[in-house]
Amino acid sequence: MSNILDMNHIYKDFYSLDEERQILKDINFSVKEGEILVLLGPSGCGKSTILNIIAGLLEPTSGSINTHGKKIGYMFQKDQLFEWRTIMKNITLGLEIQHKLNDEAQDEIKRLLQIYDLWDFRNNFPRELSGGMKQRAALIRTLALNPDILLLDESFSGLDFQTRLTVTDDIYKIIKNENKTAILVTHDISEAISLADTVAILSHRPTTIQSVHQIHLTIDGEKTPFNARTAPEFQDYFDLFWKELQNDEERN
Amino acid sequence: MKKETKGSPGYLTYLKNIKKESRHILWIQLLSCVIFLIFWEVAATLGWIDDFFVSKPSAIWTLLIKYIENGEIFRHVGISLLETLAGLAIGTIGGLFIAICLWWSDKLARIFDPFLVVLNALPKTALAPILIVWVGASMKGIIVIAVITSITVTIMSAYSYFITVDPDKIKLMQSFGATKWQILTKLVLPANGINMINLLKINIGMTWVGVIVGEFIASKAGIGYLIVYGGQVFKLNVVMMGVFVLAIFTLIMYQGVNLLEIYLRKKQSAKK
Repeated sequence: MSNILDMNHIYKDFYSLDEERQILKDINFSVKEGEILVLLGPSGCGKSTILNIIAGLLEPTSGSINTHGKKIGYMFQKDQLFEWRTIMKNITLGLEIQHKLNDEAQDEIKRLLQIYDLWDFRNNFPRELSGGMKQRAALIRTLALNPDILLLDESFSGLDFQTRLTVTDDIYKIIKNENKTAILVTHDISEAISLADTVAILSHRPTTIQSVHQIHLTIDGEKTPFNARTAPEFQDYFDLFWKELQNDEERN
Repeated sequence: MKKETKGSPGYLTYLKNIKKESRHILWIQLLSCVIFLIFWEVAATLGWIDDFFVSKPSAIWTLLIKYIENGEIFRHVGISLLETLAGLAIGTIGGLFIAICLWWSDKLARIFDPFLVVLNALPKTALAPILIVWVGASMKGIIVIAVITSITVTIMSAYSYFITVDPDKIKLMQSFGATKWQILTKLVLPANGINMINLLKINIGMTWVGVIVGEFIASKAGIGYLIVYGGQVFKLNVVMMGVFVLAIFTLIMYQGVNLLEIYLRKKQSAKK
């Protein structure tokens, strides 16, 4: 499979009146089509900055990004649904902004809402939905623009643990069903192992990539993030990643 | 239209008690007004208080009826109402427009910041005599005073509402490739709908201050004129009547905005 995204020698400095801080230092990685890459790192490292640079919301100080002309969709920590719009109106927001709200797009949204159990709630307001449903609505809002690469910024961290496990399964299924490539940022080791094809471990600031691991889990039947947690290799990965993050912690 | 409420006996009792409580409060409010008026009337009639200085309800009422019969009151109210509505519209819309400009350009906001702070701290009524000299002792002058009293607070409040919109929501819009205009019209303004209604409520009070002060200084008609004229010739009945009519109209405008708010809220939840 070919690369869909290449990050080459990305550096990012933030300036304030008091100081200049190096946030990212020589970040290099590639993502293949259909792959889920998880960037695992401690809180406060430049994880979100990497996503912001990929999304084009921030310019890197130096280095180059090649997205091979692919479209990028961004999903945030909170659902960020607009409370004055219905679920349907929220989902069409991106299309409305890009003036692409045609019949074809409407049909696609209808399909997504129907298979992911939100069709009956399309005329409800966000406050009338559960946390998990809101998160699914937020994902469909992103998918409505038909992106090739999805960026997920700790997208499940606002949910309670039980909902979080269900939503993670849902979102994983949707990403795989719709054949998307995804880059997910998290500080949760278990979540990283259960979702990822590849995990890149990040260091403290200035953030660099410490190591990259391919995840191979032995699972009976279809993989879901939930049953991935029962795979025999799960604990080994957990210990390995834990140790790497600890080592980095001690160096600081 | 009576809605059938369903629920357990406990829930129905709960609802009934809440209704009973609000009715109770309304009765106490009405009763205290009536008692106050009766006490005032009796005290003035029996000479406990001097009705030359405090007037009395029956005299104010008789005077109001006289003013209604000869149509004078409609002329005064009409003029003041026109000035207030014009001042309110110009002050609110103009203030919002300037607040949008400041939101649009951070540099502009920083340049204007100290001037706005001074203008906001200054009692705007202190500017009234100057404005009357500049614009003229006419309805135009009074409207300008009304605009000045409401516009600064509109600019400052609206601007602070605009800049506190969730930065992640702005990032979301940007990730869709939204233009600044789209961020304004699809996020910043709708997110502040209720805030704008509240601003309108504050502005009603502000604008009336401007209009009344303007009429005090230079006018031949209006509620403010009525009050100041009554004071000068020691006809306290006229002053009291002016204040009473003023209170009624402020209340009506305030309730009008309340109805607008209810209508907007209903419209939002009735879309389904």
